[in-house]
Amino acid sequence: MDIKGLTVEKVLVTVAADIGSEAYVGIIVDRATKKPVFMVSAAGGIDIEEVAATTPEKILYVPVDPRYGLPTYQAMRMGFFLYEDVKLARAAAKIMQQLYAAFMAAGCSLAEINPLVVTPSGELLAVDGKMVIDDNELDRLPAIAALRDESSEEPSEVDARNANLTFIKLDGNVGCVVNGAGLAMATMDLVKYYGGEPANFLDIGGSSNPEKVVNALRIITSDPNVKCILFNIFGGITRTDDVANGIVTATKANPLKVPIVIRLTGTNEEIAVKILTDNGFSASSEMDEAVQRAVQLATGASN
Amino acid sequence: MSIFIGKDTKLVVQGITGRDGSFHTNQMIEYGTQVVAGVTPGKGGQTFAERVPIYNTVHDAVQHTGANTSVIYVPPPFAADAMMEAADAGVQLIICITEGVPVLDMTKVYPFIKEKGARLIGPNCPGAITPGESKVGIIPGRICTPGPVGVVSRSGTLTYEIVNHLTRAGLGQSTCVGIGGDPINGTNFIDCLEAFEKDPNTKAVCMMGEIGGTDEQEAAEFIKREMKKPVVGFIAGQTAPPGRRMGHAGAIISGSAGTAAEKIEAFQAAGMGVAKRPVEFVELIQARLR
Repeated sequence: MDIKGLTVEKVLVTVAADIGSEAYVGIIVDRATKKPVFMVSAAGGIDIEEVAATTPEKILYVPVDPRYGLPTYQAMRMGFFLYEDVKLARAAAKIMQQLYAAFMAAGCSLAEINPLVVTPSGELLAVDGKMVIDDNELDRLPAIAALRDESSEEPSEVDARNANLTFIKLDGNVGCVVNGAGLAMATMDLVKYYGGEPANFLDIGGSSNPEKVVNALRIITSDPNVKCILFNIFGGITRTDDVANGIVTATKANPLKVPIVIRLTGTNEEIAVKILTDNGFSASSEMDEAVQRAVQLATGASN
Repeated sequence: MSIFIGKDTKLVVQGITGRDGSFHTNQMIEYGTQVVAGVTPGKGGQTFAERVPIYNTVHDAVQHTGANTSVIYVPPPFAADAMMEAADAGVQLIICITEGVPVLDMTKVYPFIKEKGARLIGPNCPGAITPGESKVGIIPGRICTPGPVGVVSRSGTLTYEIVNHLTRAGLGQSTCVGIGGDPINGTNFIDCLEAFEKDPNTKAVCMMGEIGGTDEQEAAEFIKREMKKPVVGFIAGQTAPPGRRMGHAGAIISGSAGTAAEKIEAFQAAGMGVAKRPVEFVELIQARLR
């Protein structure tokens, strides 16, 4: 069975719940207060962002100090915000404390119960839930890391993650290899500025390991949409000669079928340029010039 | 004059014997930073590069050397503890370079450091540099030169790109600060803008933001309300798809919030110059310094 293009691999079967009323209970890490913040609303069962946009007064926000956990009085305040009946408020408070414990234990950036249901017989049930785990927690939570289902992900993104690269596939035809997330985003933006479309976001990170460049090229060239490859490297910690060596090694093993434009500047730039020119590549030290050239080559190739 | 770091910075390096820590400590010493101590538990009593004493704890380092600033290169699982240790030892400025610190750790570290009265920059940041005086972190010294432009950014290499353009155009920098790409960081844009506004050597400010969160929008309101010095802004991630984490944990568009378009609109509403490409900072800053 497929739902919205995703294949359903596992199904949880449970007793059908008679729904009297539906509420929303969620926790996120809030950037503004720098704390876990509860969001509760009696308007459950629908998208909470919709509620926040149209009727924000229906949501109660409660920041929690993680050094003390969720005290009962805060949980009860939220319980009474949802239910007048003290029994239901207590039951809801208990569920919220359990949700909070799970949120902290599983290293979540979001945990939500939607809907939290009151049945016609007055029972409180968490009918559906969702948790988003912070990637930075996975090293210390191997049991959770093991739950990752790679079959539902873009294969090239799985390949990249296993090679310690940050890669996101996009729809364009200029394949980008950049060091640093901010520069990688700015490079994509500049491709667009000059009339092209980026094929991906790819950050090879700060360390200068030629192996990373080899993996990056393999992943990018496996995308048939890519008509031109653009390297944009600003060498700080990254040594540009390592990147140049990576390009030479990778293209010797697997000759490129599409043109490549290389911009590199910074640490060991002179050595890098020599390595590249000795091997028949040319290199630019200007970002704008390189991006314009890559866009031209990609556009020319698709005509 | 400068902000946060300068000639009086006396630095302790946490994780001085690690791969990154030792490499960058040498670079900082070479630049002229006063590196007075290092910390690696179990290596107390040893000496780094024949000149920097190593201590087991930050408390020992501060007691013996009077270090007032710390830089952290320890791996992510130990970074939260390292930040708290520095604050507890009385260090006033803590710069955490480490990338990959769990955000829930930061929800506990942040209030701890506030209560100790210290300032944290980062985590997941390139640090800060006051050209010609002191460099704390990993920003390459040779691309910087002293001058009147303050630089604050959520990114690393993108900052280098822009600082490089400034330096080549003869626009030196008062201080460059990388505040980091994580959702919870110790110092935000407004903290830096406020410090630049007060710094007599800073005449104009370059600010590089990213998609995700509302820090840039709040900074724009601050600029409109409180700042007399000109600020030029840039937002990376105009072509980023929603819902995906663009490398930095904080660079994610959630629902309709945190887009580049809304941030650029906030910049324009605040009367700021907006660079559409990194290279445009040069002209926009030159025009404002005339």
